[in-house]
Amino acid sequence: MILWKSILTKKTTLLLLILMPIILLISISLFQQTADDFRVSVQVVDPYEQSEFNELMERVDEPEPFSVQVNNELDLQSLARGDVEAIFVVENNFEKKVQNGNIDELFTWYRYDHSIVDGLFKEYIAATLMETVVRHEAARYVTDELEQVSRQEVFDFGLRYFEPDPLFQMNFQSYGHGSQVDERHEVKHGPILLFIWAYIWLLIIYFTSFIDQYRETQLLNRLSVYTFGKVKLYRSWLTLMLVLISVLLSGVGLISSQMNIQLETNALMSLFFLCIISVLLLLIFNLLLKNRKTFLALTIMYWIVSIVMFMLVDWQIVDEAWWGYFLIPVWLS
Amino acid sequence: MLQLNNIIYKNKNKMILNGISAEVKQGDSICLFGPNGAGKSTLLKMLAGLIEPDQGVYKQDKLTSKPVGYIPQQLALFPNMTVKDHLSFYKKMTKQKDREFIEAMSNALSLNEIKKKKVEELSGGMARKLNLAVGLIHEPDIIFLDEAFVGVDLAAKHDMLQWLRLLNEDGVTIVLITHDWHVIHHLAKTLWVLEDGRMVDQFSIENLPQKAEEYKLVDSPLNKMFAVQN
Repeated sequence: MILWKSILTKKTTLLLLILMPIILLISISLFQQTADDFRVSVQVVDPYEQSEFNELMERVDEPEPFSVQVNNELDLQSLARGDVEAIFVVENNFEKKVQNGNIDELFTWYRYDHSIVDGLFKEYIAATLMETVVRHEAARYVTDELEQVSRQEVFDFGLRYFEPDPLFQMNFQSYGHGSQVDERHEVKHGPILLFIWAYIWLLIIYFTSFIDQYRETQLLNRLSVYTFGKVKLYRSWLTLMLVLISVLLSGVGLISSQMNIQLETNALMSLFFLCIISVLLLLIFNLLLKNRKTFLALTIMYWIVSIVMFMLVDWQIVDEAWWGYFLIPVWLS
Repeated sequence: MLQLNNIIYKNKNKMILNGISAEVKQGDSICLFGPNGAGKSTLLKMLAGLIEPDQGVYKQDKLTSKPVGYIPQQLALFPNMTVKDHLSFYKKMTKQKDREFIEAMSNALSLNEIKKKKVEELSGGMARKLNLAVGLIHEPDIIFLDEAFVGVDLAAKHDMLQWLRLLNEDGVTIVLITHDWHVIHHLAKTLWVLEDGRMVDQFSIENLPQKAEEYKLVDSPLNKMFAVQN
């Protein structure tokens, strides 16, 4: 346990083990906050407070990048200030026009020089409107031909073709390397796992420096005169690595679930085994390459090549090759 | 106790030990002496069983099951751990149960006063004493000291020499490397003189004055060493 105490009470170790993950967490949360902030505000104005229009707006679920505000008064200053990306003002007699299929110039669309992506919202609101218009049109045709059915009945009947599911559903199957997967369940965690592996790899390099120190000060020689003295030291070092990696990955799992980053247990388990392989690999390198500079040059080069290769494979710039599997992170992609 | 017969050891094709033959008997106190690069540390490590010869025969009588005591030149300690942590760790590691011995050694080396201090807070002499103590904690029958007195102040050196002499008088064998004539004078009984990986002489400490005279006539680096130090 003296080895554990000796390593863990070092200021540098504490800094690497505690401060670094905190900095990383802050960075991730800031990144998330920035992503949340990146929402396009649009304003929809109904000066006449029409019930049909309110029903339409209820059906307009707030689409992912947009933040929709519904008002009764037109405020063009908010557009000029950049508070909103665009303003859509609905015309009077909305209900009557929709029922008659008269949809031209139902809205007045205000935009400014800085407006960029508001066109997407226009398409979105138009699609929802078209659905209502089509149902009204269908109801009108049917009631003209069949007097015994009510218009509202046909209008409601038309809903089954639009809600709650699309008219057709397609079964998606990917065809390529590996097994066929259902895309709906595929979640990409590669970059996060790579990030964690990269941190742990550097951490292990740091911990191997203690073995070098024990070698240089002849501590290993001193221990080797005792039965299994050297083996006990290596065993203690390996156990420490195992415990630290387990704690770090458990922490990652816990924190990611708190931050709504759903890391699968299988992905974390794979990462755990790859980290253990990394520990063994670095220990073997350390035993073979007793020169610290050579060890650092080789392991850092491996680290860089692995990260670059992972990214190239992940972005599908290069195909996975057999030799790529010598690089640990490629197993994560 | 230990026997070396025509030992040859090479490192990267460089001859480090060249045909060394010698014997270490129980209760001996041998000083390996010679200029830098003579192969003293390598021979000491070989005697301690830390490295194997490339050629030749190395025999160790299994008179005792206790491990040897090895005190390296460097401070083989954990810098941010206390003196007490070290003594406890080596006590457990060597399964030493004789508390009296540890207490006596701690007293003799004045370690009790600094038990709570970390190694990085110790003076050079104190750290050397701890370096010695952890190597002797299991009461070895044979002790190997590689320049264990470098940078030690007179008071610390006195404590260390006193304790080692006491152990030697009790039958513990000592093999050491030092260039300190004070240490040689107080501890060594026999000198092995090495040069370029060869054993050039072995003699008793009583013959040192004559040998010093003799080496002054030989054209070798040893000449200077004896001349200056004597």
